[in-house]
Formats: sequence, structure tokens, C-alpha cells
Amino acid sequence: MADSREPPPLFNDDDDSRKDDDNDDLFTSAVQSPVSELTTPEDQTKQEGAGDPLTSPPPATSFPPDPSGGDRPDLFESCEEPSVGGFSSVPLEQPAEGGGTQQVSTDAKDPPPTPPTTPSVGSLVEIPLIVDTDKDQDLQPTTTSSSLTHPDFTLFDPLPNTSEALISSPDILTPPETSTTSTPTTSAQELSASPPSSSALLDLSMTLPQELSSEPPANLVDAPSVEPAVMSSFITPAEEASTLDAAAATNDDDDDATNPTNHAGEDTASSSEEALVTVYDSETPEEVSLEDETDDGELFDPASTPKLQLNQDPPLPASNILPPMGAPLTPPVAPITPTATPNLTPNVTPAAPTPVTPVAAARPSAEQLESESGDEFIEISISDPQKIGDGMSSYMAYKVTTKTNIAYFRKKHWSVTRRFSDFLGLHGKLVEKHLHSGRIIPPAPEKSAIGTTKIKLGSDKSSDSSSSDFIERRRASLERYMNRTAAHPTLRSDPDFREFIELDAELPRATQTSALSSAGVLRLFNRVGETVNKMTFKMDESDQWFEEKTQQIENLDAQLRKLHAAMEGLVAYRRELATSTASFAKSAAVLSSVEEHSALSRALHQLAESTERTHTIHHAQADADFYHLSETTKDYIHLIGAVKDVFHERVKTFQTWQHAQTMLAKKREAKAKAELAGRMDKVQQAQDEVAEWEAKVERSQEEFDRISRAIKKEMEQFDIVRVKDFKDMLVKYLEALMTSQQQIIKVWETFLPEARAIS
Amino acid sequence: MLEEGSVSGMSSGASTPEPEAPFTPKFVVRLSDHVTKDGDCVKFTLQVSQNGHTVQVLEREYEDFEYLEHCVTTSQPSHGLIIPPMPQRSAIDPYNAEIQSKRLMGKGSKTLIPDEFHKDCLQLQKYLELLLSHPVLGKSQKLHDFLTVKEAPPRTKVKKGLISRLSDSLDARKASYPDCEEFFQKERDWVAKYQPAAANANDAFSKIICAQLRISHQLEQMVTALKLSSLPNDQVHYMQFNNMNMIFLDCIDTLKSQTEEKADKEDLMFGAVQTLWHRYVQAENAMLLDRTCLMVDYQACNRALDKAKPNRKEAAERAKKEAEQAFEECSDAARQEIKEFQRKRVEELQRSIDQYAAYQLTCSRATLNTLTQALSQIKAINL
Repeated sequence: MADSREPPPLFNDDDDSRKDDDNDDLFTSAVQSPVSELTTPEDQTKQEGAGDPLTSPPPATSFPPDPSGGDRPDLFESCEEPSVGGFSSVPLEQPAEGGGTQQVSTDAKDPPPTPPTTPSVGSLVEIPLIVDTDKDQDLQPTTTSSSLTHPDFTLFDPLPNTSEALISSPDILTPPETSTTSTPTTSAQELSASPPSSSALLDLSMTLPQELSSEPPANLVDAPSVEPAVMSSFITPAEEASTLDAAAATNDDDDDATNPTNHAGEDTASSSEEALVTVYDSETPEEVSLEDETDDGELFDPASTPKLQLNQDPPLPASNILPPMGAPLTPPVAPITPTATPNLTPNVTPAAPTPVTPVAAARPSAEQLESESGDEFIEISISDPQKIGDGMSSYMAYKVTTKTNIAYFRKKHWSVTRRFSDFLGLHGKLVEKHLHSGRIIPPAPEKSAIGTTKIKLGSDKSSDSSSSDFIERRRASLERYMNRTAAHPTLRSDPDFREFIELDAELPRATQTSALSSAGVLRLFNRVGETVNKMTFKMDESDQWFEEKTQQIENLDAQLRKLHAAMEGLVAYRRELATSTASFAKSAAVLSSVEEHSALSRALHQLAESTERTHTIHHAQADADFYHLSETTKDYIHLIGAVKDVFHERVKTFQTWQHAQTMLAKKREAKAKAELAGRMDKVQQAQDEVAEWEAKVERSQEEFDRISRAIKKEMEQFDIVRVKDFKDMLVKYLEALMTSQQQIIKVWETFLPEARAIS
Repeated sequence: MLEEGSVSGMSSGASTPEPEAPFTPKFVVRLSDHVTKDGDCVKFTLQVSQNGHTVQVLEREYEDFEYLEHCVTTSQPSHGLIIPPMPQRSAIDPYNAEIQSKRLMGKGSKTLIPDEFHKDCLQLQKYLELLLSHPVLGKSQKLHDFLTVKEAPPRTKVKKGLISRLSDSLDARKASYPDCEEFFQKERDWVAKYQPAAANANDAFSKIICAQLRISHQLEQMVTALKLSSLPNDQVHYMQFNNMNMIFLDCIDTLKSQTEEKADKEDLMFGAVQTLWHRYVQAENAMLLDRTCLMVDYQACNRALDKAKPNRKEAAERAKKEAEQAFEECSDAARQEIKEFQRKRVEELQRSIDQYAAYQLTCSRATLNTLTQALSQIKAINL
């Protein structure tokens, strides 16, 4: 729990901690960021002795900055960084790992803002560090194979949750490769950098995103000059091949797994994939990790799919002659190309900037982050509701499309398919993780057994308006729910949330959501217990702020409910108006057909047409009333419920604190008694207990203070967002009203001259 | 009376109906908004003027109007005349008012629609106008007395007895007799078709009005809810919230009164006219039925004359002549009436449609204006 809670703050509020790091040594911090994602593999290669990937020390320590390498080629970096950015999967997993890694992930997120601003200088600074890694790798080419295997570990082990996600999605499979890539990539780039292959450089620059192309080239040039000998010796044979690879790889965006493998590597690659898949199919995370190790070992060590890919990729565009030559050396290099490129290409825009910045903006990054957070946007839209399956086992699937510029997402724009219970499951997970730290979790739309059943039983073709209304309503509320969650900086960086919107595969079924399941009954009991608790336990409030706020929330709740009732009525009558307008239009048409006076008949006919048109306007207006006013208000009623939950959570921590205090008092008493009685053996025991409870009191008090602080902060944000939402709602609603009035005006404006012309 | 004779004489001339010089009503009546209500007794104030000069100001109750109607329709041979329909009595006592409110606002509604005497006034005024402008009825002495004598004439309870209703229903059976004249046959067919269509249109329109009333009612509720939801003014964004809330609230409040007014006006402007002419058509139908009865009588007399034995021949002949005359008179009057009636009907309905459309425009423009203002005000608030 602690882990999961921590990461968000780091990202969000704990700029300080990161700053500190930066201060300690700009260098390292700079290094960290680019390396961080990549590090996982590399660190491990270094730490191989240690053996435990999870425990790997923070990147900074593992990677003592090597000043000597400073002159080294930037090429490396240019390649690496993109991969970093592209590596969204890594940050995802990292939060779960723990403190050290989390920092890394934060760094990774920071970069995005900086890219535009950071000049090539930053890149230069970074390079040295990265170079070190290069060196290491260069020095120990033999280890590469082992390093290859490791990355897989690191990737999968930390992520018990995501493991399933990895199963089917090819995109995710690639990451492991990417991790290995870091080393190879650099080499590849170095190759390209080497003077002889100027064309290669061009290729790279072409393939790279614009931002990259501008900066990297310079770096590339520098690099060769620094250590041309080493690099060239190492790289030259494979140079062309690798560069070509890069180009080729860029072409096939995410498909690296499939495309490159097509040729020779197919067998191995596919087999490895299958292995992975099978492993993950058994949904137990622990098993997975174990199996991974073994499987990977077998798969990657001897044959190491990356190698194969390397060999094969080059052949495609490049001359077949080269691969054989480079083959011995290339193995490490080759894997890089496919992995690095895929990452680069898709992510280019967001990722590319990131790598550069961390270094250059070591200092300003903090402020930039803040300003950046203002610019950050994430927009989730839900579309294409689809009924999947038949009968009671059928369900509705929705397409979740995300648009964002936040760096830790792999792409800017993508979509996945989710079913309704997935949303509920997500909400459940978020509540479990974040509620007790005082965060207001936006509530998911309610499950409606009746509505769903109706849809399930109704056939697709004869979908009546009520069920399509229902679906549309649900779609809209899901969309609002997702955006509300995404708007919360902590929640949107939660691994579960990111998995939810990013993972292009089916999520494990959320079992706890079904209304009629045993879990549902259990939940009901829990809820009853909570309410009883709420009613019976009266906390004497020490904090005036909370006292006022609680009262305020209660009032708000009542007002919103009233408002909502009025709005519901409004919507209902607006619909009624629409239908009666329609029926009037019809009867006016009948009247006009009956009317014998031709002019009057035509006038009536016009009237019928005009009212028919206003009917549709009224209908649209009713929808606007509903979606803009009523639903927003309803959302807020539910949100207020979430706020109440958070407050209640605080009361619960208060209870534990109180409990700890009374227990402490008792223990002290016991100790005193023991002392009086002079039973020294008991005194010692009592002393221990007192100490234990003192610690508990302290802890629970801290907890209580923490949650109180968190809630205050959340409420502040909540209020701000609420005002903003309110404004948005009003603006949208008034605009909708205006449009309908304008349309009505248009209708009658066309009517009048015609009517007058007739008479 | 003399004049009446001449009119009937002219029409009985069986000549083609010459376009008469438009009949000018003798009086102009205005019902002022001054209405006194004392229990169940509602007194309307009538201002009667002639040639632009006020001649009399009097108070009349609804019952007086009822009696007037009774007198006007019975005091003279009314065959072939389309009698302007008397407006229906609106609910005055709480019980009826509640029923009507529920009908308008929905079953669950607790609001009681207040007395809307201005509507009654307008309708009664219209009724008197129609009476006064009617070429035959406009000359009735009873009507003149009603408008000029300060004290309301003593009235008796007018109630349609069981017998008359029975005879009505018997008469109704004759409605299917084919008419001997194409003009009337066509008119009868038209009425038969028109009546249900008009009734439907009326119902639908009144539903629109209801919906609007209900919307305005809900808007009112929203306003009260919004009024409650202001926050303490101790923080910047709270103040912003309150500001926006106020603007929105005002806007909704204006919308509410606009909607209410719109519903009201539309009802008067279009709904009432529709209803009036719908009922007028019913009156026409009654007249046509009356004529059909005369026709049936006449035909019966003809047959009787054919079969009559010589000794009864004379009586039969007389009866036939009487029936023929009655029928002819009625037909002539009716022809005239129908033409006049249709002319008026078309004119008024067309005008009301026109007015309705124009009013829609002005209403929408006003609403749009309010909205634009509110929107710009809200947009001006920077968060």
C-alpha cells in the first residue's frame, strides 16, 4: 500500500524530493532521468552479481557519473532518450516497485516539458553519463547476452498487476526488448555517428522526429570526434546495417515484434512471444515471474530473439553481406535497432523532447514542471458502445480513446476497448488504494440492473429508443467519470488507471462489481456496517475547518438534491413539450388537409411544418437540459458522496488513534500497577507494551494528521474544480439554450414571409 | 323587430344573397380588468360605448351572460342562424380550480392556478362582440337591454332539461339524411371532418401550453434551489461561484417569467381563437342539423300530401306550405350565415396564426437576449 500511495505524491507534490536529488549532484540527476527507464536493464547488468533486480539501488548510485566519458558521443543519447520516452511501459510499472525506482519514473515524466526549451547543451551534459554505460557495455560485450535476459526480469517482476496485460498485446511485448535495446541502440547510433557513414546520420535524422532531428545531429557529430576509434572499431561492420534497421524499424511503428520477425527471426520471435503469452495466461503474477526467468533464460540466452531480429532486419533494406560480418559483434547491437526505433517512432513527439531536457534543465525543471502541469492535458472520450455476446451473458463494450500530451503515456492519441464492469473495477481499485490517503475518488456511474437487463434481452435490431437512451446516458457518464479521474494528478498517474486506458488488451474481469454476486452482498453488509458506524460514532471535532466543511457538505448535498429534482422535472416537461409540439404539428397538418379555404390551408400547412421543426429543437433542448444540467448535478451529488467517504475515512483514522490512546493509557496503568507491586518481570513486559503503544499512537496520530492535511488539500482542489465545472456547465447550457432559441427564430423567420405571402 | 322582418323578407326572397352592406355593431363593449369576486359570485365590469362615447358602465355576472344567451337564442326564430358560442365558465371555487390545476400541471402538482379573470374577460368580450356584430342577433332588444340597463335583468335558472336533451339526441339521428342541396351537403361533410381535426389540434395545443406552464414551474423550483446554494463569501472562488450563481439564477428567473408569459399569451392568441372557432363550428353544425330537421319535415309533408285523401288534401297542402316556407327561410338564412361565418373564420384564424408566429419570434428574440447577456456576464468571470 505504502508503495502505491507514494508514487503519486512524488510525481505530484514532491517536487522537493526531486529537487534535493538534483541538488546533490546535478549530474547524477541528469543522468538518472534518461537512464532511469533504460537503467533497469543496464543497472542489472552491472549488478548482476547482486542478482535481485528489484533491489537494484537507485540509478544515481549505480551509475556513478563518469566525467571522463563526458566527451563521448551524444548519439547515444539521442537514441536512448527517444527510447526512454517511448518506454511508457516502464514508468507504469515502476511505481509498484518502490521508492528508488519511483523517483526515476518521476524524472521520466518531468522531461516532456523541457524538450522545446532545452538546447543541445542539455544533451551534451547528459551524454557523458550515458557514455559510461556505453563504455561498460563496450568493454564487456560478452555480458550483453546476460543483460538481455535481465531486462525481462525487471520488467515483469515488478508488475504483478500488469503481467496479464502483457500477455496479448504486442506493444507491450516489445518493451522488454527495448530495455535491452538501450545498450544496443547506443551502439547502433554510435555506428551511424562515426564519420564514414554520413548517409547513415541523415537517415537517422530523417527518421527521427523533428525535434530530435534538429538536436541530435549536432550531438552525433560531436560524438564521433570524441571517441571515434573505439566506436568505429566496434561498430563499423554493423554500421550500415544498424542504421538501415533503424530506418526500417521506424517505418513499422509498433509492429516491431511482428514486422522484423517476419523473415528469419519469425520462428524465434514468435516462439518467444508465445512463451510469454502462455506464461501470462496463467494469471498468477508470481508464477509468471518465475516462469519468466526460466523461459526467458532459455529463449533469450541461447537464441536471444533480439539477435535474430537484428540479423534479419538488416537484410531487408541493407546488403546481405553486411549482416554476416557484423553478426558476431552485432548481437547486442542488433536488438537495439528494432526496439529503439519502434519506441521512437510512435512516441516521438512526446518522448523525444523529454530525454534532452532533464539534463539541461536540471535546475529549472521544477518550475517547468509546475507550469507544465498547467499545460498538461488529457482528454478521454468514450465512443462506439457495442453489444457483445447474447442474452444475459452479453455486455456492452466501449471504445476508450485518449488524447494527451502527458509524457508518461506512450502515445498522444490511442484507444482501447473496455466493458462497463472494467470501469467499476477501476474505480474499486482506485478507492482501495487512495481513499485512505484522503483523496476524493470520482465515483463511477451506477450499475443499473434494470437498464442493463433490458438491453441484454433486447435484440440488436429492435433496439428501442429507451435502451439507446440508456446506452447514450451511460456512455456520457462514463466519459465524464474518466475525465474526472484523469483530471486528478494523483489518480491519473496511478498504474491501474494507466493500465486501464493504455493496455490494448482485455483486462481481467472485475469480479467484485456484479450487483448480484456474493461480493455484492458482502459489499452491502460492509456498507450497512459503515453506516451504523457513522451513525453511532460521534467524533468530537477538534478542527474547526472540518466542522464547518462537514456542515457545508451536508448543506450542499441537500441543495444539490433539490436542484437535481427540479432539473429532472424540467427535463421531463421539456420532453413533454417536445412530444406535444410534435402531436400539434400532426394535428395541424390534418387540419390543413381538411381546411377548404386554400390560403388558410396553406398557412396551416406551414404552421405544421414549422412546429414540426421546433419539435426537434425542443427535443435537442431537452437533451441539453439533461446532459448539461441534470447529469452534471447528479455527478456532483455522487461526488459529494465521495467527499463524505473521505471524511468518514478520516473519522476512522481518528478512531484508531483514539483507540491507540486508550490502549496506551491502559498499558501505562498496568505498568504503574506492576511497579507498585514491585514485580519487576512484569514491569519490563509492561514497559515494552507501553513503548509499542506509544509508537502506535504516534503512528496513528501522524496518519490522522496526514489524512487531515490531504483532505484539506483535496477539498481546496475540489472546490476550485467545482467552481470551474459550474462555470463550464453554465456556459455550455446557456449556449445550448441560445442555439435552440436561434434555431426557433430561424424557423419562424422563414415562416412569416411565406404565411404573409399566402394571405 | 321591423328591421328583422325586412331582413328575413330579403333573405326569403330566395334571390342570390347579395353582399349586404357590412353590418356595424351598435355598441362597443369592453370588459375592464376590474373584476370583483365575492365567494362564488364574480362580477365583471362592462364598459359600453357608442360612437366612441361611453354610455354605460355596468356590472354583470356570468349567470347574467348565461341568461342573455338563453334569451337571445329563444326570443326569435333562430332557424338558420349560427349562434356565437358562449364561453365556458372557468373554475372559480377551490374545488374546481384544483381539478383544473391538476389537469394542467400534472397529477402530483400542488400548485393551484390562480383565477385568471383576464382570460374570462377577453372571452366574454369576444362573445359580446360576436353577438353585436351578428346581423340578426346584433339587433336583439334583449341584448341592447343587457348593455344599457343598469340593473341586470331578473334571471331564471336556465337549464337544459332532460326532454330537450332527448329530443336533441333524436334529432342527431337525422344528421345522416342526404341533403337535397349540394352546398349544404358539402358544408355538412366538411363540418363532420373538420370537427374532430380541430378538436385534436386544440387538445394538442393545450398540451403545449401545459408543458410550458410546467416548465416554468420547474424553472421556478430551480431558482429556489439555486438561491439556497450560495456559499460563504470568504474565498475567491466561492465568491466567483456565488456571482455565477446569481447571474444564472436571474437568468433562469427571467426565463421562467418569459415562459409563463409566453404560455399565457399563446393560449389567448392562438389557443383561445382555435377553441372559439371550434365551438363556433359546433354551433354551425347545430344549425345545419336544425335545417336538416326542417328538410326532413318538409319532405314528410310532401309525401303526406301525395298520399293524402281528397278530404285531407287541404290540410296537407297547408302543412306542406308551412314546412316549405320554414325550410326555405332557414336555407336562405343559413346560406348567408355560412358564408359570413366562413369568411370570418378564415380571417380570424389566419390572423391568429400570423400573430402566433410573430409572437414566437419576439419571444425567442427576448429569450435569446436574456441568454446572451447572462452568458457574457458569466464568461466575463475569470476563474
